[in-house]
Amino acid sequence: MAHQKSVNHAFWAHWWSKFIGYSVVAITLAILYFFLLLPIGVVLKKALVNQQGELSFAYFELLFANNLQTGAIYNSIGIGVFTTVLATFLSLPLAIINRKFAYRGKQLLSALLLVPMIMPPFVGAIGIQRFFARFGTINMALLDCALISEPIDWLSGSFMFWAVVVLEALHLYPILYLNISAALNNVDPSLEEIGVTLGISRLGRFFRIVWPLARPGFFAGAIIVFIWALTDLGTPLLVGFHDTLPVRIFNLVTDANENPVGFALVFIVILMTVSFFLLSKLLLGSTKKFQMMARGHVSSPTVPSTWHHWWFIYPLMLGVSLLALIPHLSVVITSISDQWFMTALPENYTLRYYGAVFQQELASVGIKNSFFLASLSTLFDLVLGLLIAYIIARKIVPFTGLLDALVMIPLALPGIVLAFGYVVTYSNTWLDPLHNPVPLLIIAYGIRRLPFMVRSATAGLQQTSISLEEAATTFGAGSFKVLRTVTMPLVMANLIAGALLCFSYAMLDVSDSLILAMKDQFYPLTKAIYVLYLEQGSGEFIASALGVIGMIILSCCIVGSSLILGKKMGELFRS
Amino acid sequence: MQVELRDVNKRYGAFVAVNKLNLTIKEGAFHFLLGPSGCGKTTILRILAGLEEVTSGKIFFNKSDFTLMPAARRGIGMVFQNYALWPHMTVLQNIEYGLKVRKLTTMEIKKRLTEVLHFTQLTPFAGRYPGQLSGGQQQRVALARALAIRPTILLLDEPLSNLDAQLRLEMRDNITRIQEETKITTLYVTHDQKEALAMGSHISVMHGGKEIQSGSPKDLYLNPNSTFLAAFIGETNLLPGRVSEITAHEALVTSELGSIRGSNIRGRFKVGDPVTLSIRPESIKLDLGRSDVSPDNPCEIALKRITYLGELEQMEFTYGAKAEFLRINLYNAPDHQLQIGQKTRCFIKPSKVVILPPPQELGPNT
Repeated sequence: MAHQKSVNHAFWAHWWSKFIGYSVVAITLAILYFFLLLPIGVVLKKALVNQQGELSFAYFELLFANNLQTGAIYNSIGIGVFTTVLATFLSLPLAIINRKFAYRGKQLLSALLLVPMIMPPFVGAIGIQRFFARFGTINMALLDCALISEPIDWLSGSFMFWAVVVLEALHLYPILYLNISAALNNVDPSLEEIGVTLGISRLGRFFRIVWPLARPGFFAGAIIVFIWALTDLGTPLLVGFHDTLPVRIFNLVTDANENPVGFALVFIVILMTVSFFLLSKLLLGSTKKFQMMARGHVSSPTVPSTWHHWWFIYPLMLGVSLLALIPHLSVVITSISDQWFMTALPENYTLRYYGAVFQQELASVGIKNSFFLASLSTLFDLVLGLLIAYIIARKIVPFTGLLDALVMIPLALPGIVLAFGYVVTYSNTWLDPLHNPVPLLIIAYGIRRLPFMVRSATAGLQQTSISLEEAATTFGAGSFKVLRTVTMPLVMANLIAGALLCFSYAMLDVSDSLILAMKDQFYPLTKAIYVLYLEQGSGEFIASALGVIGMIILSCCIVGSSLILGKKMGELFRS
Repeated sequence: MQVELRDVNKRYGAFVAVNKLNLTIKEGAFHFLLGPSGCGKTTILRILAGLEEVTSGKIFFNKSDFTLMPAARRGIGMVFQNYALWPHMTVLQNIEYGLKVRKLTTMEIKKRLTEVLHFTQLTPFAGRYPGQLSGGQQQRVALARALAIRPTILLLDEPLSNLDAQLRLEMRDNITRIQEETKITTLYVTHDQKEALAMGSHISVMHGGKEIQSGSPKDLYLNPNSTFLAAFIGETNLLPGRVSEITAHEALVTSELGSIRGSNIRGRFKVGDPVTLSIRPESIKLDLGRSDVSPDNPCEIALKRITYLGELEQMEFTYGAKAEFLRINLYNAPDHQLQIGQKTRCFIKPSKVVILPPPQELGPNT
């Protein structure tokens, strides 16, 4: 009897644990289906199928017949291309220097290089306008110095195009820098040393040995920069350069159901994203082709620097970081300027716009909303990201490669596409953003930052031996207890790093916020900034103050994370 | 707890890790699984722990079917090869974990902690993190953690492989002592035959996912049933030959070394069968003119090389037309005047000659 009972017990316990495992996977897949694949599918379908339910390209004919729309397409591709080129010029020398030389303050300066990545470029756009206005800082400074006699009209169409490119490049170069650095560090220094023994020159070694091996890594970063720049909504909107695809789509969202051109535009964005991805893969082959042999780490390519290297190391490192922060600096100045008319810099300074932020309904509600939404979306990312990372890293189900690819889609998926898809898919349902955008905003913020969380947690899990979890299992702990008491504490550093990144990006999300939040009371920080900026009178200054507050919050996040991770976690987890 | 594996198979795709294994571990036994890496021994341990599922077959703990029992409910204690100590918990917290999961009373937990810390001499290190301990101390924590829950079965996966030679000898005694005192049924996996010979009361030798022989260390050493086993446990000379004569208790085998009589016949042979002789280097006696050596199986050999190792001299001899060497170990060797290249004779007792089937290709595990 007792024997039979234990057999039954074992049988049910066995299937129960399987059931829980597969349920988690099923829920994960359901979320990804409803909030990632379905909205994209609906947009694609609406773009290609006409009202009679037939396959039709009529919307595209409509679209290409209009010079305004085709101009926007060319402009956006141009922004993507030039941003990538400019970001490469900024980041490549930095990555090479950091691979090659050791110098005083390297860690600090390298960290400083990454700051612009989380600083919102669209806030910088406000400041740039002030600087380059007809009677703005630049013109006034040039007039004062008598270099020009008439103010230059900076804010014409072509200038605004370049303003967007510069702002995007200064925002996105850290992504390229991180990718190039990682790729360069993956090149075994001994391969270069062999080149030395063969008598190949320094430049020859770089272009014939190092660069071919690092190239796939560079293009992996470049394609992200290209797509992000191409599809960014906030910067062109605030710079005032409206002839771009994202801005056109944004303007068409409100009457999405009457004007089908919006679908066609979103379709074009998806088509471009996918084809540029495939093109980059096709042209350069997969990274596997050049899979690096096992690295011995016998030698390091880094050499100590001497004083005659410093003249280019420090100006470059500091220069790029400071240059990238100039737009933000200009916002700070705008936010505290009192009388600012016909002079290079304000004549008087004031803090009254900061006070106004808290009296202004729109501004204070925006801060509150953003905190609330970003916190919940970060929680969403933490839970879902950890589960997905666990499934991928521990190969719980077959086809984890496919799951990984699925989760990574949002990294390249333009925010406007997803937001547009949500509006179209969930209008007139209980999730309708017109009534209450909160659930969709949380999910949109969450889904778009999920890749960061999954990558971060996966990296942590892969560094943690599975036997630590198995040991806990043999001592009688169930799956969730193991996850809570062993796995989570061990990957906590990665979780916090991932969570802070998710939170920071969610706080300053533009495309989802602008498109999904349609009523005042639901405006997040970014939409509040945008709406205030459009207001006459002191709106621009209050918007700047609000932008500065946003940047301060972000800076606190970053400093806080480095404090938590640096001191507490650093030593503990080296066994 | 008595443990039984019945027709256990484990496949990973086309790879067969465990092949129709039948194995019984007696209650209270200190049982060794010995085999080269990749022979499936760790897989068996993981199957018993519940960390892997069998492809087919059954597992019984005290005659109850435990095949599908989740790992968390099996009540076993396991020491992992890398110890798997949780780096974010102190020694005390590591050991306490299994007790807390079992929801024991605070009193009971405290009692067991004191007991097991004392037992493994870890009391002074209770507050430290694993990263602050030496390899030997970490090993003891892993053992203490497994023992604290008073497991029904203790599973040890190469527990000494990460320690240096000196510490390994020390810990061998430690583990043997603990097993003797606790009488917990213990399965110990290792690839180190010396470790198994020195510690085990019962050894199962694994190869290619199968158990190829089991028995006491002495039995395995003296009576190997295959050339693989003869060569795997201890040193041996393997000589191919052909049966030329069969008597009631002995067989005569023609080999390059000469005609050799053997009485330890492991297998059924008839005249003309190919066989392999296994002769241990210390069983061959040199003709040094001593009267206490019986002149069985005299062979003509020539000295090729001597390696002097203190208490032991290892010698290599050439014989016949072959380029192979015959190895002979002389322990506490009397003075001898043998020169390199000198011809001499040696004797081998028929009972020390093990006649085995020729080596078979065990083939890849597919």
